[in-house]
Parts: sequence; structure tokens; C-alpha cells
Amino acid sequence: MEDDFYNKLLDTLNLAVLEHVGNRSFKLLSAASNWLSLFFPDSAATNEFKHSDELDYLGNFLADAIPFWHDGKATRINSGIWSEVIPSGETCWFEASAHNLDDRKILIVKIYRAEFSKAQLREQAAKDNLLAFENLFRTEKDLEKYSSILEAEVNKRTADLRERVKELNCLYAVSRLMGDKIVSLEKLYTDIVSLVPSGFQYPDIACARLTIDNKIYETPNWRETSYMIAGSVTTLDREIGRLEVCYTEKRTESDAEPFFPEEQNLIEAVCERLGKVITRYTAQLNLQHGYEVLNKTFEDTVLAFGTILEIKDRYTAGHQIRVARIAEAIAREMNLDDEQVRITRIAGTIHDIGKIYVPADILSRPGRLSDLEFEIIKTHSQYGHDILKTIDFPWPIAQIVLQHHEKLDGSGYPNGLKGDEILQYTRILTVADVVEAMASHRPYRATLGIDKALQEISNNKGKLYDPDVVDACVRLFTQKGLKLEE
Amino acid sequence: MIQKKICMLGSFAVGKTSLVRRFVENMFSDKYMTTIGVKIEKKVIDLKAQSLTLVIWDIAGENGFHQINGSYLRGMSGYILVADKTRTGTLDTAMNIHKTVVQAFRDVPFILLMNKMDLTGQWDIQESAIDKLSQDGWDVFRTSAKTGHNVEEAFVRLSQKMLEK
Repeated sequence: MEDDFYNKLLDTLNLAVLEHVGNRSFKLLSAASNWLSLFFPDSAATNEFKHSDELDYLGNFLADAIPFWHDGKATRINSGIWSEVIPSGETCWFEASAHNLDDRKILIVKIYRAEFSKAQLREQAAKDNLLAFENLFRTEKDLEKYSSILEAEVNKRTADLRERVKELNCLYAVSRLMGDKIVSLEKLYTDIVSLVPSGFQYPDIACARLTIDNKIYETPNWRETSYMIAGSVTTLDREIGRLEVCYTEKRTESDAEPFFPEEQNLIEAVCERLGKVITRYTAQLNLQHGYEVLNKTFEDTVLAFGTILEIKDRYTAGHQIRVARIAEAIAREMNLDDEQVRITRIAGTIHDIGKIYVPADILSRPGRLSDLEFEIIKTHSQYGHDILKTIDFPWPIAQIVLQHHEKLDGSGYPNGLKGDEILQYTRILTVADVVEAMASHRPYRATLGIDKALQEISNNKGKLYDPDVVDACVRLFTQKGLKLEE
Repeated sequence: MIQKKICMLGSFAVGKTSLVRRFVENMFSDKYMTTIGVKIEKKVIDLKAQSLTLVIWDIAGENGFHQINGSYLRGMSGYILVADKTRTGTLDTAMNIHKTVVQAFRDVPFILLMNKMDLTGQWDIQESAIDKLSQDGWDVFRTSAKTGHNVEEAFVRLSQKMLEK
């Protein structure tokens, strides 16, 4: 029963299994397939499977299989594929294998039918491709021809690649120039003009010219020729210039069109970037100019603000300007940066603005002030602060003004601040204020002179006044020729 | 009846299978179908008043990737080298195969077929090269499996050589 099943199974798998019993004779272990008669022609009549044809494929394989079976060392050998026409007239492929199984000498023959045609088609396609490839190079002449075509193509592509690298390098260098801090547009134009020829096929005979707003920038070898390529420089859709590249001579006869399309792209890319840089740079210049104008307007306004006092007290207005100058000089002497110097100057210009609330006759009256009058005068710091705090300065101007009568030891007013509680700007302003006040004429007394003023601040250095500020101020007047102006 | 094994050897697509088909069935197809492994055909010919069965082993052509299995040549009495007149390289392949066979089997009769002679406009192998081989003692047949030119003659010649040996 089981044997019957296995026989059917082997037949389904297109396998015939035989056991070699010696002398090229076999015992059939599987069902008898009719195609077996191809290899064992007498088997149908005798029921003996004896293979006698040594010249057919199976016979040839048995010449290897029989020693293999006797040797018994290896477990399997294969015959490879062969094809024959079976008795039904169908062409089939076969493959045989010999096995040593439990000391039994087994021969398995497998038949492949239509399913093998796929493998044949694959092999066919591979050989067709090989044949087509071979046909490409049929003769040595062909080989030479194709080799030279191939070599020419490789050379052309290599040259193309080299050109593209040159163009990219040029564009990269130009972009880097534009990315750097631009000192001036004129320098940028000159640099670009000298760089552009390097991106072209024949840099040694290339020259360039850039015309911007009717100004011309060109390479020393510039010469306009018929071998020219050009691009327009535009800013905000307005053409403002033109970049031209010329070859000063015709390089080869074959170069009917000496410029690559990529070189046109290169010149347009440079022009486009240049247009953007000019737009940006011009906008920056305008912005900077606007900022400077605004600053000047602001300082003029502050100055004008300070001179309002002149209406009430001509002396105080002049005093503020002079204090501002001294304070600015001290700040510079102390190596403060430009912005800090500016803050000090502006604060000096309006430090007494609060005196606008002090009656004019107290401000300009000759003679010594009463205690009450002096108390009134002392309110000007607070008033100045109150006026200025409403203005949105980006600096602590109101604070400086409020503190400008504070002293290092806390003896000043209005808040008796000490040491570092007083802003550095204020400490500068305080010294400048004292020096100017003592060295200038007052309505109630003549000038005490600059020497007295310097003596005062020197005597109180570190007590009332910041020592560094005092030192800077003394240096300015005694060593650096600073003068009080009227 | 005498049986002789003949092996068809040569590069791929030189017309080995077509030559066998022309010889055995007197038929030809332009459609190239590659041979997988080995294809075996038989033909009985009468020669010198005796019948001779030729067992023709048509062996898949060399393509540079796989070489001919040496065991296929076992027991052969003669072999036919086939080259394609339109492809110079196929003559080189045929000559290389010949060298290998001579090393392994020494003195086995053979002939050289210069096939596809009908493709006159595409001839690639120089006549002088063929003449040179003839001068060296080779039996060279200019054949066309398509027209049948010299095919029978070639197989007969090899058969004669095998019988003479």
C-alpha cells in the first residue's frame, strides 16, 4: 500500500529510481515510466533494466557512476542536463544522479518537460545579449572604431566636467566675495571682473568688463571682440548694468560657437547675485544713512532742548554745552567706547534741564543764595529726571541727570547715593560739572580758574569724586591741552 | 552495426545544432535556439558498403562562462569543430578547443566546418586564415546549414576518417 503511494509520488515528481545490481543492470524501485524505454529498450519485454548503450548520455554517465558506487566514499554525483526525443515524439531534458544510500547503489533519473523551457529561454536571452555585444565589436577595425568613439566620449565628458568644475569654482569664489563684508561696491566690482574669466573655457584669452551706472570696471586685457557673451545686472527689475566676457582671439576653427550654454548660465548667475548684493548693499547704506540722520536729529533735538534754558538763564545753557564737552573728553580719556562716550555727552547736554522749574531770578541773581533759594536750586536734579523719564531713551539719561549732584561719600543730593550706587556716566558728569562751574564765570562771582577747579577735584579725589575720573580730567587739562571754551 | 560517437564543438551560436538538424532531418530554421547541456541525435549512414550509426553529441557552445565538461568527450571517435564565418572570434575558440582536446585525447579524427557561408556580405574570417589551416593538414569544409551546402559531405568525410583509423 505504502509502496504504491511512493511509486505514485515519484512518478508525479517525474523521477525514476533504480538500484544498480551489477553489470550495468538495474532493479526498478519506482513505477515504470514509459520514457525509461529510451534508456532500457528491452525492459518492456524482459522486465530487466540493463543498460547496454555506452555511447548514449546515460551510458556515458554510468562510466562515472559505477566506479563511484564501488568506491562508496562520496554520496552523490550528477550527470548534467541532456535532451532527447522520447518515444512519444516530445523533446525532453534529463538529469541523472548516482547515490550511495545504505550501501545500495541508487540511480535516479529525472525528466524535465515543458517547465524546462523557461530555463532555456533565460539561457537564450543571455546568449542573445552576448551575441549582440560581440556583434558590436566584430572586427579589430570595429574595435578600434568603438574604442576611439568611447575614448572620445570619455575625453569629452571629462573636459565637460572640468569646465563645469571651473564654472562652479568661479561662481563659488564670486559668491564668497559677495558673502564677505563689503568694503565698497567699487572694490567688489573690480574683484568680480578679475575673477569671472577664470570660469571660462579659455581663461588665458578671456577678458571681462562690468558697466554699472555708466561706470566701467574691466580687466587689463579687455578688448571687445565678436566672441562675446553678456548678462544684465538688475536691481528691483531695473537694469543697472551689464557684465560682458570676450575672447580676445578665436581659439580653434571648430569653435563656431565658442561659449558653452553653461557659461551663459554662469554669467547670468553672477549677474543675478551681483544684482541682489547691490540691492542689499544700497538698502544697508540707505538704512545706515537714515540711522545717522535720525541720530543727528535726536542729538540736535536734545541740544535744542538744552538751549530752552537759555530763555530763562543764558549762563546755564552755555554751562551744559561746556560740561558735555569736558565729560565727553574724560570719557574718551578713560577709553569708554563710542556709545558710552555718546551717552555721557548727551547727558551732559541736558543735565541741568530741571532748572527750567527754578525761578529765573534765583538762577541769574548775583550774590550769595539764601538757604531756601539753595534748596529750590537743589530740586533741579529731580525735576530734570521727571522731565526726561517720560522720554523713551535707549540709555539711562534720566538716571544720570538725577544723580549728577551725588557724591562718592554719600554727601550729595537728592538721594545721598554712595560709591558704585552712582552710575559711571554720572561720576564723570559730576567732575566735569564741578570743573566747569569753578572755572567759569558765575553771575555772583568771577571765575576761580582751572587750577583751583583741578585742585578742588584732586583734593577730594576718592572722597567726593571718582579717582579714575579725577585722574583722567587732570591729565586732560594739564598734559593734553584741554581748554575750557566760552 | 558500427556505432561512432561524434562531438560537435565550438563557440555558441555558430550553428552546431543547425548543422546536425540539417544532416539528420534535412531541415533548417533561422530561429536560433540555444542548446542546454547536450543534445543527442543519431543517424545511420551507409559508407563503403556498411552501415554506420553516428551518435552525434551536440554540446552547448562555449560562451566564455562555462567550459565544456571533459566527460562529454569520453568514447568519441571523432569531433567536428565549428566556426562562424561571420565571427572571427569563433575560429579562435575552435582552435583553442582543438588544443584542449588534443592534449586529453591525442589522435582523434576531426574536421573544421566554416559555417554560415551563405552570409556572404558578413564574412569576417579571412580566407587566407582558412587556407593556412588547410595547408597545415586540416580538413576544412565551408558549410551552410541554411542551404545544406557541404553538410553531408563534411559528416561523410569525418566518418571516413573515423573508419580509416
